[in-house]
Amino acid sequence: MAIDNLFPYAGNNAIQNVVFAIEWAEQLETSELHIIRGLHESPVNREFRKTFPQVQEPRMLMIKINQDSAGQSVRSNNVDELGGVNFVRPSVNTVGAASKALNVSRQSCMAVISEYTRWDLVWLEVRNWLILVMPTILKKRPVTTFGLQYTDVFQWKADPASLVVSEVLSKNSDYLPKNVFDSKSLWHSHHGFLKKEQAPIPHDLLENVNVNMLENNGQRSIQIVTSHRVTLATPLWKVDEPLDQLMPSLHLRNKAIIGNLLTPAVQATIKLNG
Amino acid sequence: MPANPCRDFFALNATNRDFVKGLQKTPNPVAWETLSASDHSPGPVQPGELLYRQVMHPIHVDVETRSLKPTAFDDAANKGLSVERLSHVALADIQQAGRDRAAAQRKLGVSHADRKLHAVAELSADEIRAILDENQQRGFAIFDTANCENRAHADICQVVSTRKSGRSVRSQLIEAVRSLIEE
Amino acid sequence: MMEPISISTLALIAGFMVAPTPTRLREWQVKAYEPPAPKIAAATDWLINPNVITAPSQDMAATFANQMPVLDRMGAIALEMELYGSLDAGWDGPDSQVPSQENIQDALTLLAKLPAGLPLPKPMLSSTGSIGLYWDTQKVFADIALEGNGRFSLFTRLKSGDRTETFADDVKVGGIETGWFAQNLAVLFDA
Repeated sequence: MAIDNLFPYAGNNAIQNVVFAIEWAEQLETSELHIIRGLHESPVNREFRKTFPQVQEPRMLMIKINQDSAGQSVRSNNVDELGGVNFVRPSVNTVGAASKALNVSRQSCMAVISEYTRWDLVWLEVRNWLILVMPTILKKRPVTTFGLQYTDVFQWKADPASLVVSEVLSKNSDYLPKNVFDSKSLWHSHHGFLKKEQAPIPHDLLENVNVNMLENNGQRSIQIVTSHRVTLATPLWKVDEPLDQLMPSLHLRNKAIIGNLLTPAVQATIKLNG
Repeated sequence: MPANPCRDFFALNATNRDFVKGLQKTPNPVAWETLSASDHSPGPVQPGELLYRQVMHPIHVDVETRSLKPTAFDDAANKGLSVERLSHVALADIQQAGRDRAAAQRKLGVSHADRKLHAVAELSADEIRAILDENQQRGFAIFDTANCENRAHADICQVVSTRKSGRSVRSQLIEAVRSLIEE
Repeated sequence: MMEPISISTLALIAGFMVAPTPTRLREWQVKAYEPPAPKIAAATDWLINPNVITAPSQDMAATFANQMPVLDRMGAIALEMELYGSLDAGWDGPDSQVPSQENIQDALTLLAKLPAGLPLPKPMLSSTGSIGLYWDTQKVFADIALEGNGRFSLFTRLKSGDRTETFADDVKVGGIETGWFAQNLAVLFDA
C-alpha cells in the first residue's frame, strides 16, 4: 500500500505532544509562586507528587538600569527572582525531555503531555492538575485565555523520493496550498484565522494550522502543529466550568482539522474516528 | 514421620536453580500445596495470605505505567519466584531485608552496581491460585520454602509446562500484582 | 532615576519594532529541562528517583527553547534493547545472564517489521537473558519472545469476552514480513 512506510510518531497515534494553556494578564507575585511550589509537598497531593518526581524553579533576572551623574546608563542592583515553577516527569526515552510537565510562569500555566494515550485519559489527568493550581492564581486575577495545541508527526521510513504527498495529505484540504502536492522537496504551509464565537462563552478563537515537510538525517517527516487559542470577551474568575466546556470542544475542533488534512487511509492508521 | 513428598522434593532440589522443570513433571504438584515444603516453615501458605516480591532491578519496571514487566516474574518458571509471607514478617522488615541484600550484592562489583530495592510487589495467594491456563489448569502453586534464616520465605512455581500455557499464566501473574510499593 | 527595566520588557519593546500578524499564534513551546545530573543515559538508568531539585539560575528566555526529542519513540525502544547488551552477567543477582547479541539483533529486526498503526511495544528482559517485546493494553496482552537461532514466538490473549489466546511458535525472524504481523497482531489494532 502507498502508505506502508508512513509511521505515526507513537505507533497507533501521531501525537508527539499536546499542550494545554491558561493565561492571565496580571503577573503572579513571588509569594504566589511559592504557594504553588508548596502544593508539591502537601501530604494531600500524593498522586501529584508521584506524577511529578521533579520540581524546577527557573529564575528570572531583573536588570535595573539607572543613569549615573554623567547621564550614562549603568546596570545596578540586578534582582534574581523566581520566574516560575516547573513540575516535571522526566521521559525515560530522552534525556532532557519530559513525558509530562506542568509549567507555571508569572502569566501562564501550561500542561504538556508527550506520551499521549487517549483524549479522555489525558484530559482527566490534566484537568486535575489545572484544578489544583488555578485557585491560587485566581485569588487575585481573572484568566483571559485558554489554549490547546497538538503536534502530530508522521515519519516516512523509506526513500524520500517515494513519498507521494497526496497519499498522506488530502488534495481537498481547506488548509493546504495546491503546490505542496507537486513538491518533492521540503516545504511549509502556515495558515491562521480568527473567528468570533459566542458559545459556550463569548470569545475570539484564533487557530493556526502549521504543516511542515521536514528532513532529518535523510528521513522525511510531516509535522502538523494545530493551535487553538481562546481569548475571552470577558475575563473569568472561575475556570472549572469553562475548562469543561472549552477544552473538549477545542479537542473536537482539532480532530476536525486533522481529519480535513489527512487522507482517509492515514486517518484509519491513527483511528482518528475511533 | 509420615511421608512428605513435597518436603523431600524441595530438600533434594535445594541447590537446583531450575527445579521448577522437575516439579512440572511430578504427577500433581498442586496437591503438594497442602504439605509443608520445609521443616523451618510455620506451615503451608494459607488462603487469604498476602505475599510480597522484592523488585531489585529497574529493568523490570515500566516507568511510564509504574507496573512490572512480564519478565519480572520469570523466576517462577525455573528457580521459583521468591516471595515473603506477610503473615510471618512485617512489610518494613521485608523492605529492609531487600535493601540489605542489595547492599551486600553491590559490594560484589561494578556489574552489581544497580542492585537496589526499587519496590515490593504485593500479591494475593488466592489470586495467584486462581490463575488458569486456556485448559482451565492451575498456573501456579505456592510452597512454604522457609529456610533457617527466613521462615517467611515462599516460592511461587509455575506448574503448567507447555510454552503457550507458560506465556498465558505469566501474563496473568503480572496482572495479579495488587500494588507496587516503591521506595 | 530610571525605572528598572526587565528582560521581558526589553523583549516587548523589541517586539514592537515589527508589527505582529494578528492571526499568527506564537506556538506554545515544549520546554527542555535540566536533568538532575548531566550524564549520558546509562544502560540501567531506567527508574527516576523522586528527588526534588532546584535548577540553577537561568534566564527565563532560555527555558523556552524548543527542543525536539533526541529519539523518536521507536528509536528509544530500539536503544533500550541495544543497551541490554551492555549488561554484565550477574546483573540481576546470581545466575542472571545477559542476552546474546544475536537475539538483540533479531529483536531489532522484528521491531522494524511491525506495521504502522500498532501501539508501540515495550522491551523486556528476564534474568535468564531472554529478550522480548510486549503490549499490555486494556483489551489485549501480547508478547514476542526471542528463542534463539533466529526464531521467535508470539503470544496474544484477549482480556475479556471469550479470552481467546493465540500462540505462534518457532517462527523464523528472517522468514516473515510486515504483513505477517499485521495478520497475527490484528487484535492490537483495535486495542
